[in-house]
Amino acid sequence: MKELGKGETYFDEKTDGYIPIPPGVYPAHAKTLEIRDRKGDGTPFANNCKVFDVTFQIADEVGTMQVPHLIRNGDNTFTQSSDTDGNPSTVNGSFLKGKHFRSNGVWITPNPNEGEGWRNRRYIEFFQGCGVDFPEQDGKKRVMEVEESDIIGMPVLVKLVNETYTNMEGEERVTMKVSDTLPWADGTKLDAAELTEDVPF
Amino acid sequence: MGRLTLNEIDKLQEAGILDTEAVTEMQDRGLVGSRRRRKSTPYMLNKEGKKVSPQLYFKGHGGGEDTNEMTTFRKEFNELIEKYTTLEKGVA
Repeated sequence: MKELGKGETYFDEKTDGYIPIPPGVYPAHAKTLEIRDRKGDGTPFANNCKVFDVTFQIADEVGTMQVPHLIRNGDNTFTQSSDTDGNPSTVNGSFLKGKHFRSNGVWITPNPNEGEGWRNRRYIEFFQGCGVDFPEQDGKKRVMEVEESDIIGMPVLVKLVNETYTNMEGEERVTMKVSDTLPWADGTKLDAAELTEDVPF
Repeated sequence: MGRLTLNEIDKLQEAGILDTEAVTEMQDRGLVGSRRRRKSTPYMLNKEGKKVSPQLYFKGHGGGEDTNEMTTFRKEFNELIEKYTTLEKGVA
């Protein structure tokens, strides 16, 4: 081996190693909205249903949070580490800044059958959590199709959960998804431009 | 919309992400749970040396929604529990 040049370079597993992301509630902004009306094979969903996928970007304010410090168990699951006194360890949440997480697909069902209005409950609740105000008529919320301009940049508290799925090779994998949204009253709405990727030069 | 637990609200408030006004608004909208889950049971000893666990119960409340006063009452009750009891895992 030879030196890298001037100064010395170190790698510290504690600070520079992989830090698993703990499930929890984090401040974020809605970054993108994708709307699908077809299955993978190109055929439309039944009853003109659509699926909404929202990507959220974790806000800078997460840097003020202390989050559980997770370590890997032998079976590839994670557990919160403890300090020398046996107290649960935490780390600063800064490592989460700017990370992106997708929501579970949120379905909208236009003109649901009698007694099946519940099919749009999650849709209404999810987007209300993103700060969308649906118009009301006779005490009922009018279900309308959310557009990018309604939610991009909106401040949202997102609930991150582990979701298990089986990949094409039949292996079980775990990914993090946004399961729920809540309004972040003290958050600031960002311009879409503030959420776009930095262009490499 | 989802709901936040009191522990989640505490963390966000400690980090300055939510202020008291925002928390009150969320409580008013029913977006915050009202009960704090303990991982272990608090107990104190009666005169016979038997472990007894104090409980708070709003008779007649059923599945009703808590008022802010009830939430505050519960919080103060929990502070009393912390002051007077010991925690032991597995005590029913």
